[in-house]
Amino acid sequence: MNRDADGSLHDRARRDERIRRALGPVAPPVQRLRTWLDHVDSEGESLENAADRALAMVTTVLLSLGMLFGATTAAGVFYYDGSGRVNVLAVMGVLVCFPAVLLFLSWAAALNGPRIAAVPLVGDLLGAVGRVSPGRFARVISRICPEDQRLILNVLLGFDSNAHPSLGPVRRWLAARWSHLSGLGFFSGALATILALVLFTDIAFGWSSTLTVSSDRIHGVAKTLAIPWGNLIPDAVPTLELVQATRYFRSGEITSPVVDPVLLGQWWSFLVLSLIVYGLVPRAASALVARWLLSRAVSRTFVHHPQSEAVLERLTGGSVDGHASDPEEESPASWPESVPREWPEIRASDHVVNWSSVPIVDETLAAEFGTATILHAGGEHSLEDDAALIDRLATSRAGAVTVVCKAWEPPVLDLTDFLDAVAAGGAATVRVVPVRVDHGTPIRAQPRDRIVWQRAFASSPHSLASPPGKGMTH
Amino acid sequence: MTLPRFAIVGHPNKGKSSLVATLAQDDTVPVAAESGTTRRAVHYPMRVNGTALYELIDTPGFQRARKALNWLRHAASTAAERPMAVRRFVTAHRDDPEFHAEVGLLAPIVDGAGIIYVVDGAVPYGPEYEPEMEILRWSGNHSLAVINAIGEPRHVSEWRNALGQYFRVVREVNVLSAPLEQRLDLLRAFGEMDPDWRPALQNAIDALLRERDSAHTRSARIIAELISDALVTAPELRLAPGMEPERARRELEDVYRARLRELERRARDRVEQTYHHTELTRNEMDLEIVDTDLFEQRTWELFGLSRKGLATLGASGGAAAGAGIDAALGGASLLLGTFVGAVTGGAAAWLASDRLADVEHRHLPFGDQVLQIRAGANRNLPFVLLGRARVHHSIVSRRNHGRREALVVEEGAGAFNPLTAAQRSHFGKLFGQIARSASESREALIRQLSGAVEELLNGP
Repeated sequence: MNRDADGSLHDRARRDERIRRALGPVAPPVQRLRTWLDHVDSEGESLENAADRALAMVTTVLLSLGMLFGATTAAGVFYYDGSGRVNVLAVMGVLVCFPAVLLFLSWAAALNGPRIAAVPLVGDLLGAVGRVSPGRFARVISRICPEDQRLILNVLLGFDSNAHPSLGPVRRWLAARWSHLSGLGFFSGALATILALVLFTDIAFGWSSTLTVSSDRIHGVAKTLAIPWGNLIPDAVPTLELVQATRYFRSGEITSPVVDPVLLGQWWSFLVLSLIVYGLVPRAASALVARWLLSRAVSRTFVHHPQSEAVLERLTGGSVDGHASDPEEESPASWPESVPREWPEIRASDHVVNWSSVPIVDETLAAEFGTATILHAGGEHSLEDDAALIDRLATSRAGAVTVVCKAWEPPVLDLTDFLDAVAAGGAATVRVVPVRVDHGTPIRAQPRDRIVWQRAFASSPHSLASPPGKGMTH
Repeated sequence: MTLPRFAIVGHPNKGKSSLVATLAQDDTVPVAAESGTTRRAVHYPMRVNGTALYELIDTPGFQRARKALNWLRHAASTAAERPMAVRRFVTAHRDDPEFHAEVGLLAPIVDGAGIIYVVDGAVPYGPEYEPEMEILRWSGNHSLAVINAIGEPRHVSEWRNALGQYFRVVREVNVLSAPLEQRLDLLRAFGEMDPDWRPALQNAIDALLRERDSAHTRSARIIAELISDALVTAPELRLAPGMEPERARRELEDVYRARLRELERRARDRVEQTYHHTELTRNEMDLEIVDTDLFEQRTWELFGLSRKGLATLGASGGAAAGAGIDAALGGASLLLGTFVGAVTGGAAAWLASDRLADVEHRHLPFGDQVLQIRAGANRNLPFVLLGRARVHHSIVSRRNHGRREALVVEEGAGAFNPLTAAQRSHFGKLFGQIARSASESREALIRQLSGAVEELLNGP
């Protein structure tokens, strides 16, 4: 649309008119805009492909990073060298509770960022979360993309001067979607790692807390957390015996000196299902919702972007175009510039003709040009009168003939015909004196008159002259 | 229904093309002082939603009117034969270079176009016009005369007397400065020539009014975006080792100024395009008020708030914040919060009033240093941009497309009422919110600002 705005307004109106007719009267706005883009942008397909590739690139990298981070975190939390136990509470805290808080904050920021950010401390927390949001890495990733993809990402992410403010909601949901996809990657990586560790190693689970928490309390919480799958997979719901049996203390003493080693491994199914139900599924659902919100924001921005609105206006109604259907090829702007020249003064002439009734009385005109009589032609005189005058001048073998004209009226071919006929009749010279009139006396033509007359007489055999005396030359 | 068509005819150089350019809203129509700028009939269909509602035909001026009339007189002996004689004249001289202009202007008339005869009210009536008017009368078509009242229309009454003998309707219009309402009146007069033409012309008038409203809305949006961009633009400069901070600061200020000027220039281009002015850009140099440099002292005095106004605006913002504290304390603070807020806000605004922008010096990890500049405490900048945009819009939206001289501010053309206290406060609040907004939430604020600007543009 930016590129299109550089073109001629007239051409755009014409082209859009053709598109409007092809679309018909009932096409919805999005379809209108899509059709318009297909018509006007020859690079549209490649641009769309580049955009798809850029977004796919960022998505793939963020998903991969999320998986890697999830696998590393799970490997760290499940680290077991046989000397102690893997603390179930630590696993739940790191892999379920903390991501759940992040998920809540990311939704809070996406849904109503400015208002929540205004709350003291919450704003700082959101700011901190925002700084490590996976969506932020998109800019870093864009640097390794090819040029065309990088440009698109910069516009989408608001780092380019072409990034329009109306792209804000798109940017918000794009960042949210990337964030949730990274989360999805995180839980996938973590789950894969946990399952591999459970399968290929023998992990002893237990639980321990600095706080005084009873086994009953922990069992109650675990049972509540297991409600979603309790009926389907009862083995994945920790029993009170398991909770009591797997408690341990920092001193290294075990509550129950004799623990069945099988019990120490039974927590894994609860942990895996907790990760799936409270981590993976919410992130997957969030990613889907963010995707839907993103596509809604894209559609809205697409239709409500001011440039789109201008296009839609041309495609649907209100478009007014008054340009020529067959314009002149050459415009006056391409004509050579002229400056008014000073014309020679005429003090005497054999014959003076008042052309088209210049409003100056004959006596004044005769005195100005030092002649006895003033002749008349043009204007209200008929062509027959003019022909008679031309014959008279030819018969009298006129020397110099001066034709006084109205400087404010541009010369027309009617005058040129007369001048040519006088010259053809034998006049030695034919001079044209365009004048302005001030209190009944002739004064010099104004500069803008002189330019008009000069251009008209540029290739004429007849010369231009000024009246005698001092006239206004402004 | 046949398309209403109007042939714009007359003596050379009387403003025919200017009238066409003005009515067609097309500043690419060739217009010049020279006779013969229009060398053939050029058709300007007025299309609304792609459907032509009427057509203007710009024609060459009469060149050999007496000779043409002479031919016609020999071709018709009675009044009844005159329209046919005109038709025969066109047929007989279609390829005759002698009557190229006359055929060019009479051909659309014999095809049924209405006649719009244009004369210049600033020059005296003369007998050379009579053969032209006589030929047009012979055609028998609907006709209307327009006295182009450019400059000092000293001769309008003598023109009225002369034209009244040949034309039933005579209108006086300055084709270069007629406001939209006057142009629409002229179109209505065109419709009065023939009742069949009236509906199409009324549709065109409605479309032009709708388009004006839409152009106002789009311009307001462009101005709002300009102000928003100016408020949030924040160029950075990485300090090279050993670079003096003061020199770097000056460099950064230059970059900042250049960026703001560029933003303003682009916004002006967009506003001009909105009003179909595509040929104005090269004439900006001659703008008097609007083209003073954005950062000249005079500009800021003209369009910005006074130092006192800025302090008042700052004080009202501070007082509002303080009043919040008073309210939270249930009045126990005896309005001390409001008082302290007002004094603090007012003093801060007073001190910041002559500062170009806020420059922040930041230290990055690994020892790098960066200077960043933004409008920040400078409350004047958005008001200056708004004021200049208002004047520019006022000139561009009123400018007729027949004008070819540089865009200059005529006396009164850019005059506008200063902002009221309530408007200043409303705009000040919006500017502040935009400056502090996150990019994701800025769109809603820009829409609010756009609405406020539109109200301002539509006002007196």
